[in-house]
Amino acid sequence: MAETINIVSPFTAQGRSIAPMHSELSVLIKDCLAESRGAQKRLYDLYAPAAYGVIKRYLYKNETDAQEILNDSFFKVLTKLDQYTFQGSFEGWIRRIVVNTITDYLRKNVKDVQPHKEVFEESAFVNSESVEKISHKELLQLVQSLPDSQRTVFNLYVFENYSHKEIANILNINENNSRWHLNDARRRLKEKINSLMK
Amino acid sequence: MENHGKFIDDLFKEELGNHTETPPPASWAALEKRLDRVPLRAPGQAYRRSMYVGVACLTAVLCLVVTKKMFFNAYADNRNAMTNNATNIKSNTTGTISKQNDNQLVNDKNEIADNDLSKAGNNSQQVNNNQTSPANKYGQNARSSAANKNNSNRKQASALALNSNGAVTSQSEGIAQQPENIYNSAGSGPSAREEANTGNKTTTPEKPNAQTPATTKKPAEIKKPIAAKQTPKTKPVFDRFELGIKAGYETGFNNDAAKKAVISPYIQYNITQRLSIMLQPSVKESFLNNIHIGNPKSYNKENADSGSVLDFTREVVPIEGEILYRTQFSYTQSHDSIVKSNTFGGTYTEYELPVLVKLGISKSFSVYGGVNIVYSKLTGVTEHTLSVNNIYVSRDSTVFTYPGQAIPRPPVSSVITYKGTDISNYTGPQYPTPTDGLIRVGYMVGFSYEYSKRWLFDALIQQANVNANTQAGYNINSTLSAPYVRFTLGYKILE
Repeated sequence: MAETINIVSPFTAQGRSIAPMHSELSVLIKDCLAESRGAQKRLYDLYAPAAYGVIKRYLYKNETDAQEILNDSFFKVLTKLDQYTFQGSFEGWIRRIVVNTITDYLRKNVKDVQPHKEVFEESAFVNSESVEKISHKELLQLVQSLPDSQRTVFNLYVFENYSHKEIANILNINENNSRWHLNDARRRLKEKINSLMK
Repeated sequence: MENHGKFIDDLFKEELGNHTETPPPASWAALEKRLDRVPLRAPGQAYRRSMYVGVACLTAVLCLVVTKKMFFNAYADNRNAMTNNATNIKSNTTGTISKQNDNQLVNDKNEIADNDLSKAGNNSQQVNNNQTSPANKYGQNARSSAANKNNSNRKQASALALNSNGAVTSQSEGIAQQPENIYNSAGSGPSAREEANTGNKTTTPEKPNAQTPATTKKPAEIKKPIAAKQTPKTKPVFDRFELGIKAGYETGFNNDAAKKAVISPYIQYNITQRLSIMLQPSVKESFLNNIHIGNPKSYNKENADSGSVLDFTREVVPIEGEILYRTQFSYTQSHDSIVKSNTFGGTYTEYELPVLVKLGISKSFSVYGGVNIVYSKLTGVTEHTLSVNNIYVSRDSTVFTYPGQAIPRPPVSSVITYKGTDISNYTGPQYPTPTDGLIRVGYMVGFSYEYSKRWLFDALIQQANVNANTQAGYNINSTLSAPYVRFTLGYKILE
């Protein structure tokens, strides 16, 4: 059972994080700035799993594009590392780059010109006891089963805490469409969770 | 809205908010290839471009100033030369020359009295010839003097003044007199010249012009003492020694170069007004960015104090009428991850002693160059350690046994394995740290601009090569061998 050790995501607030201490991070960043390939690899190893997790929430099925976005994101991270001012979380800085790269991709690839005017706020609560039986993977698959536009809006709204206005700007859609997509995504997810419970 | 249950957004946020997924190894390989194509980022590259522009502008301004200054100096020299010519001639003619001429006049008169008419006729011819010759000479001198030339002109002009004798005073008032004035001043005039040419013997012996013999006889003898007086050889007046101090900044032309703060006293011995020898010993504090060499090595260290924590659960598994026990062992262990990497750089001190020859181009601008002897410690490689402590890992192992059979407990090492090497295999720094010093010889060329009596600005280029010392594929001596440009501000303590 020779397994490799899975490093806990440095983005994770809970659990046993091995995110380097501030001083170690400074050394690591300094080494990366000195073009040390070893340090760059270390930084990549530390932060790529979490970044890839974020990307895969948006592009679960499209492995090639997901890797390309990861590549783009870390290329930006490593070549613009001198712009990190050590103010604020380094993980947050990387995450912002990753999400921006994803949204750039989505803006080009997710088209939604159809107007959706009517927005009905639906009940978005599910039975908490039965939900516990659903595994992590199943939940991930549920999100991936959503149509592209809805999955994107849902991800940006729920995980990145963007407002509808911001989502509308990012995806070049109007705010109503964003609301409609979110509600529809919630409705679909609720239906799927309920069907899983049966 | 339902008041019970879980909000769907919260459910997904809790479950998937920290979702991680290990990217395939090919992703790093692709990224590495892409990074390889990126040109190496030079430290302070943006500043370096500005520096080059600054240096170019500064050089242009300096060239302009120096050219202007040189042109102005040349113009001033010409004006001085003109004034000096006039002054020299005036002083010479009004003093010594007139006295000598008086004596000669007396002698000449005596000689003429003893001569017969035929001799007098010959003399008159000589007068004519001699008058013509100096007149031509003066014509040249007047032109050349007007063109602000040198002492030779002044000698000729003075000689001419003697030959023309009676006109000495009027000549001395200015160089730019017409040649005709010389003839007139000789007391003969155009009519006298005609008579002499036609061989008229009656006029010359009866009324000999007292000035004519002076011009005809021994003009060269008179020239000599005057010429010697006009060009007295005086010693140049300038200070032999100059002492001062310079301080500034030095940076290299390539990415491997260090940034240096320089302080250098200097002593200068002036051989001539233009040529001097300069000693400029310097102390340089060098700052070099840390540059990584080689690949980092990963080590791990199992923590002895925590050890492994074993937990197990047992279940009965019925298989075709038989019973099997399934025992689930769960291990948890903590360890430290240690990464060793190597860099070179940091600060080091250099001492240098250049011996320079300095050549003054103008009063305030000079260039210099020479041999530079540099001493410094050899750059070494420093090992860095990055440790992440108390990393917990958990692994499971399942064992199936029949009833009554002892349950073998799988060893921890087969369940929990680590990447990298155990710390016990670490044998010390990978690269030796040199402690020796190194003397090397190079060159130094530059220029100096004195923008006030005491203050001067210097810019120079220096390089002192050293043999390559390749560690992990990187020449760590490249910092020492790189060419450097230096800008200093100097102050003359003793001028």
